Amino acid sequence: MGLPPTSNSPAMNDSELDKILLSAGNELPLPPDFGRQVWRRIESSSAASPGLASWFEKVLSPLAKPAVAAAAILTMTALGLGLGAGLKPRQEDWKEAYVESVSPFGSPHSR
Amino acid sequence: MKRILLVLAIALAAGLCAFALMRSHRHADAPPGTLLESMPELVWLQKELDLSDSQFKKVSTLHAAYLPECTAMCERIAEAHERLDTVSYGEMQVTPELKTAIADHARIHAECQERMLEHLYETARILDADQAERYLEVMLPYALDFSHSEPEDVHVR
Repeated sequence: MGLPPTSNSPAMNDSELDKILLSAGNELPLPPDFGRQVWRRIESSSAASPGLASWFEKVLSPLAKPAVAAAAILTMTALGLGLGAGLKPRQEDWKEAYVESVSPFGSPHSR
Repeated sequence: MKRILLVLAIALAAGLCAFALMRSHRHADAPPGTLLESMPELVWLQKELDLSDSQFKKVSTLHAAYLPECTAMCERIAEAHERLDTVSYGEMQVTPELKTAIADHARIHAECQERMLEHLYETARILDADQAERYLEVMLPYALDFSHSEPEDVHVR
């Protein structure tokens, strides 16, 4: 009946599918190309759920273009500079550092 | 796909380099080999009090001489804390050993407090009147830490 399983189809042959369909009862008449439709739907559902790798490739594919790649590198550089500048110690941090350095009661001295 | 991964790796490396560069730039005020590089905590003192070069040199020398003393005091205090802690948890009454630990703890605390105050006053004497006033106003509360002995309203009925 219908199309044979392809490389994308689950490992099930037509005779198994026929047995399952027959065991479900045959009160309703099946259309003549029912098996073909079943396999087509199985194949289309397999094709509609791509793996993580293909999703990753699809999302990042614009990076293959030189202009987008340059923009990504510039963006990361700017981000690094921004984060580095943002983490510069504040005046209050220097004050705390001085207090800790002269007080024997605070946190243990690292020197 | 290889090209995409290469671009990603380069972008990541560029970001990390930029971050590291900016972080290292934080010592821009401290040229290599200077006092500020070896004792960055003095940045605050220099900026807050607007020290002259001569004042900064004297303050730095005093600070450098005090640091090993401060470290030793810190260790003495920690040992006294630990001893008092150990002795007090092993008894159901105030034993002679516990009395000694309490007395040692108080004496070491007082000695260290006195030495810290002495250092603050020595530093203040290097500064001019306004700078000294500002310096002591900020620093004395740390030396006169009453947080453990401040009388509160717990005994007021």
